Amino acid sequence: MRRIGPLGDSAVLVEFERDAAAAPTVQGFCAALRARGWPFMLDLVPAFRSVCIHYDPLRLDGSGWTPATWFAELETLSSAPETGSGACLHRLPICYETGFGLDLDAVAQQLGATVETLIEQHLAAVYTVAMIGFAPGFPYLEGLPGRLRLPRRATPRSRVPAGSVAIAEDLCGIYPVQLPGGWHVLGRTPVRLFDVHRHSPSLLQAGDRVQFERIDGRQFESFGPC
Amino acid sequence: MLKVLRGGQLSSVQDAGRMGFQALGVTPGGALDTVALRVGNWLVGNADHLAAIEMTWAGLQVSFTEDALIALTGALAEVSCEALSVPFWRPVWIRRGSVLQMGQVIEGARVYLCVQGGIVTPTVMGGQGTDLRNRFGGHAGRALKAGDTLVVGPQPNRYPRLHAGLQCSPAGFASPPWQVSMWRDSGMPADRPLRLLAGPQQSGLGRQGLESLHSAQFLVLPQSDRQALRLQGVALKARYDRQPSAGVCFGVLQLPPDGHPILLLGDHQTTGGYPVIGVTASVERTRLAQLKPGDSVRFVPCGQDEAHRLLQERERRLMTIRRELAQRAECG
Repeated sequence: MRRIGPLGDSAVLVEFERDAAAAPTVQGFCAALRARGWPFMLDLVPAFRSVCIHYDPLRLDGSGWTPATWFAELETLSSAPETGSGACLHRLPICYETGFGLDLDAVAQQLGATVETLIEQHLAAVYTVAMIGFAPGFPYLEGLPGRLRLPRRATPRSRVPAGSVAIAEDLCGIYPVQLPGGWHVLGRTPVRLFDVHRHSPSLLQAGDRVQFERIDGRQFESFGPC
Repeated sequence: MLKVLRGGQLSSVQDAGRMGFQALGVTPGGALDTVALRVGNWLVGNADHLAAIEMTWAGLQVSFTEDALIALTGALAEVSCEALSVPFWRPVWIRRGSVLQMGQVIEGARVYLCVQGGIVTPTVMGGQGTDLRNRFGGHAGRALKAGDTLVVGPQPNRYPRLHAGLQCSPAGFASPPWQVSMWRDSGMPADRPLRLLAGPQQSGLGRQGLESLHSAQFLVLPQSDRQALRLQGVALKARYDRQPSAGVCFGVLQLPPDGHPILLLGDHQTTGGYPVIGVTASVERTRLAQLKPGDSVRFVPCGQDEAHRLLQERERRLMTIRRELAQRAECG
C-alpha cells in the first residue's frame, strides 16, 4: 500500500502501489470494506489505483471510532491478502462498420496499420474495468494492446454517439449516452450500458472483464434502439 | 399539488442526494445547501430529507391547488404572494389558489421552498432529486418550467392553530410572529475565509504557492454551476506528476494546468484527475452553496480535528433549533 490519507473531513483516499496490478487489490479492498458494513460509511469509489471512502463524520464520532483509529483499521484491511475475485466476464457486441467506427481509418493511418489489423488487435484483448467515471456507467477499460496507444484527438467531438467504443492513451472506453469526448471512436455497441430503471443500473462494475465480439450492421440494428 | 407558472433561472426538485452509487459514476447531487433543506423541512414538520424546490437566483412562480404549509429558507430573496412579502425561516400557510412569486435573490444564491409532505417524485437510485447533467430523477429529469405539476406528499395535521388563523385572515397566507434565526455560523462575519484542509497534492504548490492560496482573494466566475465553482485569483502552479483519476468529494479544490482552481459542489463528477490542493471543511457547505458569480472568497488553513469539532458544534445547535421548533409547532 502506498498511502492512506484524508480527503477533507468526510472522505478518505486509500492509494495503492503504482506498479502493482492494482485492479484485484482495489476490488479485494472494496469487498473487505463492504463486509465490514460500517453504518457511517456512505459510499465507495474504486478507481485506477485507489479507493475513495465517503463517510459521515458525525456518525463516525458516535460509533466509538475516531478518524485516527478508523484510519489505522483501514490500513490493516488494505494490506489483507486478496480474496477470490467475483468478477464477471462480459462479451459485448461491437460493430466496426462505416458510420459506427468514426475514427477507424484515421487511427489505422496514424498507427501505420490496416483497418483489419487494428480491428483484430482490438478484438483480441481481454479488458478489465478499472473504474466507472466521467458519466454514469462509463467504463475505463485497461488492457488495450500497446500497439494501439495514441494521444487523444486534437479536437474533441461535441457529440460522441451513445454506445461508441473509443480509445485514448492506454485505455478503452464506452460512451453510455451521447456525450462530448476526445477519444478515438473505433466502433459501437448496441448494448445499453446504463439504465436508471434497471435493478443494477450499470451493466459493468469495476473489476469486471470485457471482451468484444464483432457484429455487422444488420445484427446491430436487430438489437433495437440503444 | 403545485403548478409551476414560471421556472425561473434554474429551479429543480432536490432532496438530500443519492449517496451510494458513485462507483457507477452517479453523482450524489441533492440540495447544495443541506442545512437550508433540513431546517425548511423541520419548519413544516417533515423529516430531514424530503424533497423541496431549489431555486437559483430568481424567477420561480408557483400556484397551490390546495391549502399548503410551506417554508422558505436559504438565500434571502424577494418572495411575494398577492403583493405581500412572504417571510423566510418560518412556517407559512398558503391558501389554495394563491400564487407565490420569487424575485431577485438579495443575498446568497439558492432559496429552498419546502412543502409539508414534501415534493413527491419517483425514487431513482434511492433519491428523488434531479440529476440535471444526466437528466434523470426529480421532475422529468430536468429543471422546472411553466406547465409542470408537482405532487405533494400526504400532509399530517400539524400546526392546526396556524391553519385556523389562515381561515380568519383575508390574506393569501398566514405565518406566526416567530422565526428561526436565519442560519448563520454564530459570530462570524459573512466574508470570513473558508476553512480549507490540506489536499493530497497540496505540497506540489511549494511554500510560496501555499502562501498565495491562503492569502489571495479569489473571484467566483460566471461559469460556476451546481457542479463546481470556477475561481480566479492569483494563478497557482502545482508541481506534480499526472495523477490517475481518483474519487473526489464535495469541497475538493482542484488545480487544472491553467492555474485557476475549481471547487467541487454537489453535482461533481465522481472522480477527477487534477491535483487536489485542498478540501473545504464540511461545515462550509452552506456557504459554498450560497456563493454566486462576482462573490469573492479567501481560504484559511484548518485541521482535521478542528473541522470535526466545528461540525459537531453546529449539529448540536441545529438539534436545539429542531427541538425549539417542535415545541413551537405544538403551540401553533
